[in-house]
Amino acid sequence: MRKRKPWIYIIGILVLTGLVMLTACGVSGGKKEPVTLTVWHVYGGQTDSPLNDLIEEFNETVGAEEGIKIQVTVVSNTNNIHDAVLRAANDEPGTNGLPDMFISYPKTVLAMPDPEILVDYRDYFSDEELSAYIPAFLEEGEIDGRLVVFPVAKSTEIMFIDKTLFDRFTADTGAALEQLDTWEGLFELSKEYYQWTDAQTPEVPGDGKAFFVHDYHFNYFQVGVESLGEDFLRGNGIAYGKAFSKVWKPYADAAVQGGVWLQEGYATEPLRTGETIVSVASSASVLYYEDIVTYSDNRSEPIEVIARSVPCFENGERLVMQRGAGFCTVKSTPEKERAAAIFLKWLTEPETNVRFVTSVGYMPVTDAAFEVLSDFIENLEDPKYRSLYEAFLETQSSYEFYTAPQFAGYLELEQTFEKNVRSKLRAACSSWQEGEEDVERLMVEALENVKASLPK
Amino acid sequence: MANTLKEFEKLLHLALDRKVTLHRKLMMYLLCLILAALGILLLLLTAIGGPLKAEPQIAQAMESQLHTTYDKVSEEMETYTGYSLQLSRELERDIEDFLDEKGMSVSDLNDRPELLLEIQKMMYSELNTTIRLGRSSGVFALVNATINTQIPEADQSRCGVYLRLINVSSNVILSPETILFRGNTEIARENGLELHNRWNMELNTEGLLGYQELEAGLGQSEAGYYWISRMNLKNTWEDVILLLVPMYTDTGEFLGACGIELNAVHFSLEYPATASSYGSVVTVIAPVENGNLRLDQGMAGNTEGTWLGNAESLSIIEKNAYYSTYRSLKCDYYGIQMPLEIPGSSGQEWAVAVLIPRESCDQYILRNKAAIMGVILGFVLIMIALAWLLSKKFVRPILQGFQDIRDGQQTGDGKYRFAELEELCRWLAERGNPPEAGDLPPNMAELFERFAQNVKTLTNAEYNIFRYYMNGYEVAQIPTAACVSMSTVKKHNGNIYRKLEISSNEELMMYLDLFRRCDCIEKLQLDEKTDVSGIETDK
Repeated sequence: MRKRKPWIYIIGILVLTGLVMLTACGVSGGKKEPVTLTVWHVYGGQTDSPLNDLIEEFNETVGAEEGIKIQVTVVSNTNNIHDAVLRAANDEPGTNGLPDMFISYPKTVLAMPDPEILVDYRDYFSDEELSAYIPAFLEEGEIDGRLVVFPVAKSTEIMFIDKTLFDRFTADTGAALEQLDTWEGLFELSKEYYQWTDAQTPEVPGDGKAFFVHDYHFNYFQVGVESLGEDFLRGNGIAYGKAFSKVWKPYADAAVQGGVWLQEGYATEPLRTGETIVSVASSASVLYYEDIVTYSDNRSEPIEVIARSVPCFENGERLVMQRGAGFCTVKSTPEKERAAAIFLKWLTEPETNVRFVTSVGYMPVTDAAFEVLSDFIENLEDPKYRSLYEAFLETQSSYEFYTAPQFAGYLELEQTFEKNVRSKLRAACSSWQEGEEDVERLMVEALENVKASLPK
Repeated sequence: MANTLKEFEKLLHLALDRKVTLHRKLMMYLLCLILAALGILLLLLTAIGGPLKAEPQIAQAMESQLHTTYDKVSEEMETYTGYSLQLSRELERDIEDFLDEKGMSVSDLNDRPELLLEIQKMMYSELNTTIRLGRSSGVFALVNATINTQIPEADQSRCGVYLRLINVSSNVILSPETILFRGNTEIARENGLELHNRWNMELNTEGLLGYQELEAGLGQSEAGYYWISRMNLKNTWEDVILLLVPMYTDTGEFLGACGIELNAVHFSLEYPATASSYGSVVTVIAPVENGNLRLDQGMAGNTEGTWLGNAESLSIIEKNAYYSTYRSLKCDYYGIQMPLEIPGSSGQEWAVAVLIPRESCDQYILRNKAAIMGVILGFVLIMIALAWLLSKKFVRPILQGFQDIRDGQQTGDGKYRFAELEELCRWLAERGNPPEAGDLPPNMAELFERFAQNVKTLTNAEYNIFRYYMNGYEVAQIPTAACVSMSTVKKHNGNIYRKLEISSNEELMMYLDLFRRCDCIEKLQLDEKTDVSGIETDK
C-alpha cells in the first residue's frame, strides 16, 4: 500500500488557517471610522462662519485622508464661550462637558479649576515646527510653562467708520476724518455730532445720537493710560493716577453730553441701526458689520464702512491692544489629541492661515504667512476688508502692540469696570439730558461711583 | 497524602491497563469523524450566511435604539407643540384684547410703529416665558402687519419678535441667555438683550413655508399647526426646523403666527451618537419623500464616528429581512425607520431613523463570521487530529497484532490493548496447542493434590471399594464383584465420602473423571493397598 506523507496534511491545515487569517486581514483593511472632534469657536459669532467652511474643506481633504472629522457645535463670542467653558469645566448642572477643542483667551484657562486638563501642544509639535510661529503669540498661550492656548489668528483694535453718514456730517459741519487721529479730536467730534443730530429734528429736543462706541471701554482706559507712560494697574486694582484723569476727562465729557454710546452690547449693534457712526472694536468684528444700516422705521440704506488705526492721545505713545484667543485642546485619547494637532498644523499652514485670517479680519500667526499676506490683500474683493487690512498694515508699521497682563482676578476687574463705567456714565448722561448743566460735577460723581463699585 | 497519591497512581494504572474494547474505540473514532463532518458543514453554512448570522443582533440593537429615540423625539415634539399651542392661545387673547381696546383690525396696525412696539412687548413677555419653560433654542411670534409698508419687500416683512438662545452648548439649559434675532431694538434695550449678529427688525415670511397660504385663508393643517422642514437662518451658520401655529381672532381673522424652533445643534447635542460594536448609531429625523429620507430637510443627531453629512438625501437601495440599506453621498448606512406622527407642511410625512455606517457594520459582520469560522475550523481540525491519533494509537496495534499472528509470534500474553483481540489470540492459541498433562491451572492442581492426599487416608477396605469406582464399576455391581454385602459397600461409601470431602457418588465420579481426563489417575494408585488384585481394571 502506498504510504501517505504527513506533510500533505500539514500543508492542508496551513492553507485553511491562512484562508481564515486572510479573511480577518481583509476585514481590517477597510476605511476606518473617523476620529471626531467637537469644536467651540468664535470665528463668525452667529453669522455664517468662514472657519466652518474651512473646517468643511479640512474634513473633505486632510481629514478624509487621516480619518479625522471636525464637528462644530458652538460658534459664539469669546465671552459666551468663556462662560460655557467655565460652566462645563466646573461640571455645573445642565452642561454636557467640554468639547474636544475650544477657543479661549489665557484668562479663561487661568479661571478654570484645573488647567492641567488641557493638552500641552509641545507634546505634538516639534521645536522646529514651533519655530515657524511668531514667538510673542506662542508666549501668550503659555501658562505655567505649558503651551495650552495655540495661536491660529491674532487681532488688534481697529476703528470702523460709517463713511456714508460721516460724509453727511462732514458736509454740514466741516468735520474731517483726520480729527479721528486723536482721542481728544474724536471726543470733540462726538459732542459736536450729538448736537448736529439733535438739530436735525428741532421739533424733538434731546434726540441727538451718539457718535462713538467702544467695544471695550476697559481697553480704552488701559491702553490709554499705558500710552501716557503710566501703569494702569497697581497690584490687582486700577491705579488712578494723573494719566488716568487725562484719559477719563475727554471721554467722560463726551459721554455725559451724549456723544458716546453707553448701552450694553457690542460696538457693531448701534452702527447697524445708525445710532452711532464710529466704533473701535476688534478687527475681527469686520465680519459683523453689514453694508446696510437699518433705521427705526425699518428703512434700510446701503453704507460704506471704512477702517482706520485707532486714535492715540496727543503727546501719547502709539499703542494698541493686541487680541486674539487661541485653540485649547482637552486631554483625551492620543488619537484625538494627535488629530487636534493635525488640524491646527493644517489651519496654520501659510496659505490656509492667510485664507482663514483674511476672511475673519485677523492677522496670521507665522512669519511665512505674513509674507504672503500682502498678495492676498491686493486680491480682496470687498472694499471693507481691503480698508481693514490697509489699516492693519498701518497699525503694524506705526504702533506698538500692548498685551493685557494675566492674573486670576483680571477678568473680574475687567467685567466689573466695563459694566459700571457704562452704567454710571449712562446715569450721568440721563441727568444731563434732563437738564443738569454742570458736566464737570457729573463727571466727577460718575468717576467716584465707578471707583466705589470696584472691588477694593 | 503520600497514600492518597499512591492510591491515585494505582487507579491511574488500573485505568490505563484496563482493556478497552475495540467496539468502544471504534465508536470514539467514528464520533470524531462525525463531529468533524458536522463542523465542516457548519463552516460551509457560516461561510454562505447560515444560522450564526450577526444581522439579527444588529437589527435588535437598532430596534432598541429606534424605540428609545422615537419615544424621546415624540415626547420632545409633543412638549414643543404643547408650549406652542399655549403660546398661541395667550398671544391670540392678548392681541385680540389689544385690538378690541383700540377698535382696530390687524391690518390697521400697518405703519403704526408705536402700536406694533406695544404688541412686540406683549410678545416678548410670552416668548421669554416660553423659551425658558419650553427649553427650546428659539421662539418667535409675528403679527400680520409691518412697520413700514413703503419699503421694498414690505409684503413679506412682518412685525414680530424672534428670541434665540445665545449658546446651545448643552441640551439642558437651566438659565438660558437669550439674544434678539428679530424685533425692535427697544425690546433688546429694555430687557438687556444683545442683538444677534444678523439681526433684522422684522421677520421675513418668505422662509415660513405656508405662511402666505395662511394669510390668504388657505392651507391650515388639520392639527391647527405644522412643522416646517429644515431651513438655514439667513446669513447664520445655524439650521432649524420650525413649528408654526397660526393665530386667529374669535371671528376667524388671521392674526399672525407663532412657534418654536428646533435647532440642529440642539438636536445634535440631545441625540448623541451611540457607540456600539457595529459602529456609531446615529439618530435622524427627516421628511420622507418617495421612500427617501430627506436628511437635507431634517436633522441628524451627533454624527460622531461617521461621515454622515447634514445636506444629503438618503435613498433606500436595498432591504433585507432585518434592515434597509441607505445610500448617501459618501457612504452607505444600515438602518431602520418609523413614521413620526407630526404634521408637516404641505402634508409632508416625517420619520425617525437610526443609522449605522455600512462599512463598520460589515466589518463587524465579517469579523464575527471570521471568529465563528475560526472556532469551527479549530474544532474540525481538533476532531480530525483526534481521529488521526485514534487511528494511529489503536488501529496500528491491531494491525501489528494481526501481523504478529501471521508471523506466528507468541500471543496471548496480555500485550494486546483490546479484549477482543486478546480473546481471539487466546482462542487461536488454545486451538493450536491443547493443554498438556500436568499443565493444570493452579487451583485445579491444588484440588487434585488434596483429593489424592485424602485418598491416602482411606483404610484398605475402603480403598478396595474405591478402586472398583476407579475401575469404572457402578455401586450396584460392587457387592457382587467384591463379594460383600450392599450394606458393607454403603458403609464404606459413607466413610469414603467423608474422608474425600465429597457429598455424593456423582461428585466422586466427576473427580475420577477429571483425574482420568488429566491423565492423573495414577496419582490415586496406592501400592501397599493391593489386596484387590483380582479386580479387573478395565471393565
